[in-house]
Amino acid sequence: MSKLDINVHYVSRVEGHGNIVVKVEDNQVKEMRWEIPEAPRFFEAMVRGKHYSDVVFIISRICGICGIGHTFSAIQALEKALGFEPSEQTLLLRKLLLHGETIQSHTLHFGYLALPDFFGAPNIIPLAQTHREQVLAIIRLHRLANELCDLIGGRTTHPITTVVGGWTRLPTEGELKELRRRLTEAISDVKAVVKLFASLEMPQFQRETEYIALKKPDEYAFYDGEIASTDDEHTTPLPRYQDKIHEFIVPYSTAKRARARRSSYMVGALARFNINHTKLSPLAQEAAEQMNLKPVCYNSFMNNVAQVVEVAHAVEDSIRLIDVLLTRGIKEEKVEIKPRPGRGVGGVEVPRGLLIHDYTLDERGRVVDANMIIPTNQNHQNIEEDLKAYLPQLLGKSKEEITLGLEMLVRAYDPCISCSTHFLKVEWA
Amino acid sequence: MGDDGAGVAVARILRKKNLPPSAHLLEGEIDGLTLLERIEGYDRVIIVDAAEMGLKPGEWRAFDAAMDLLKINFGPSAHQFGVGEALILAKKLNLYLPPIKVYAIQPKRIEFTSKLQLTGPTAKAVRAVAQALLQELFSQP
Repeated sequence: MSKLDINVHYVSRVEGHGNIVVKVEDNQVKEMRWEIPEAPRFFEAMVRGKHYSDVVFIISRICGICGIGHTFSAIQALEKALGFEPSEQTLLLRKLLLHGETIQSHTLHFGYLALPDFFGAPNIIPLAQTHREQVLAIIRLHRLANELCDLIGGRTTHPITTVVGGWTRLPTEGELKELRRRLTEAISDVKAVVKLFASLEMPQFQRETEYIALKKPDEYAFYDGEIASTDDEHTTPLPRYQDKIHEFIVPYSTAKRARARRSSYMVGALARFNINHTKLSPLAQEAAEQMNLKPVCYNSFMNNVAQVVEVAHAVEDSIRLIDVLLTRGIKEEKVEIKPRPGRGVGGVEVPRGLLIHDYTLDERGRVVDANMIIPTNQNHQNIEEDLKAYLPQLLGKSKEEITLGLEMLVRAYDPCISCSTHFLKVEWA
Repeated sequence: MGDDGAGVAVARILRKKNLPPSAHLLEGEIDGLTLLERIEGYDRVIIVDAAEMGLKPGEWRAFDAAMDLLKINFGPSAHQFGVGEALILAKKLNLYLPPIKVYAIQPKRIEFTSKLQLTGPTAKAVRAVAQALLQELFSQP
């Protein structure tokens, strides 16, 4: 190909706005950029001076998809700063709600945003006729996830029952039993989606990459853990995240980027699978095998498949969590928290990857400093390096095919771009 | 939210009124898919939202959600999966939908702000739409 100019302005079927810029001359890639043009959103600055009890309701608004994850990462950080240990019941319910967000977000992504590409469709609507039962299964899973979030979090988006110390409302045992029944019914829908994805042909792409995710000894880590990397033998405790993760800026993007051991790394479902696959539930292990996902997988397109695996895990593990809660019995708990100065770091695996919130409080419990490490920020550099590596494979194809291939690669990451433009430091003259 | 919060602004006006007991108000930044889930079981549904209609900022329209009026737009949508896409998908899947009416307000500015901030023309439209809705709600049996 003698000359190729591609400028995808606002990649479709991703959350937020990102551009792909490509220039090729004489089969040489002269320019390849993944640009984020979204305006900064100032959340790290916005929470300064706010009381810790207000912070969770502010920062959940960073995102309309992973608001629950932001809430829990913030709550974890604030509880650590305040020296508070949540009860086992609180932790079980938090994990359950986080599963709801995972199912909701992953289903939306692989079902509505990524899936159409594999059928040459512009969106999900043509599949309503060619794959009706599978589309209905996806709709049912998404709906169930929303209802789980409504029940435990008080609202589909931006939870209201989740506070530092615990909950403003607990589900009843009857409500949990009904939810358990619905989750058990959903297993057949999960299997239908797995069967569909097992039939898809994923683009062939490999680039050796560092993967980073939370890790715990006894579970597939979503809530809390230590930072693990496929490049490191040992994990890094969350408070020392800055020893591992180094943020930086590029001039053509409003979102920060990150590197660790290499020039980039990946977080998200594929990273979690690569690091924690032995801890997946039986249904999820079976799903991974059926869809031919094996660790360590270096094909970023398989992040779509890893999300399907995680939905299987989240559905099955939610049933387990409810069984534990019902065996213990749901109890009202009295919580007393006294403000004190301190710093705390929280880490949660949200659908798109590792999310860290870091707060420092004063003696009145007000935020004096805040920092957030967002999953999509961490992925931006890896997206660009993947695009650079993948493009040569595509050069024999038409411009439209090349463009679609690059867009599919970006979509596979399920970027949440609005989250990633959360920062600005302002120096007033 | 900027003017894309027009629907929420109308809902907040209505929330302060004594609506008929059979009318349920749902306010929020929900996507089209979640909306499909929420409208199940109702006899009729009214959706209020900002919409790009090629009109002057602040102009508004009320219309039945016939499919040919709702275009598929998988471009940047504040709701990611918009109302139009969701209703068309439901129709293609032969899912039952109650009669749906849309009150759409042409926005001037859509942006992320820490609180709801409407431009002047949209704020005026919000008041007019709220008034029209109240008349409709109280005139229906």
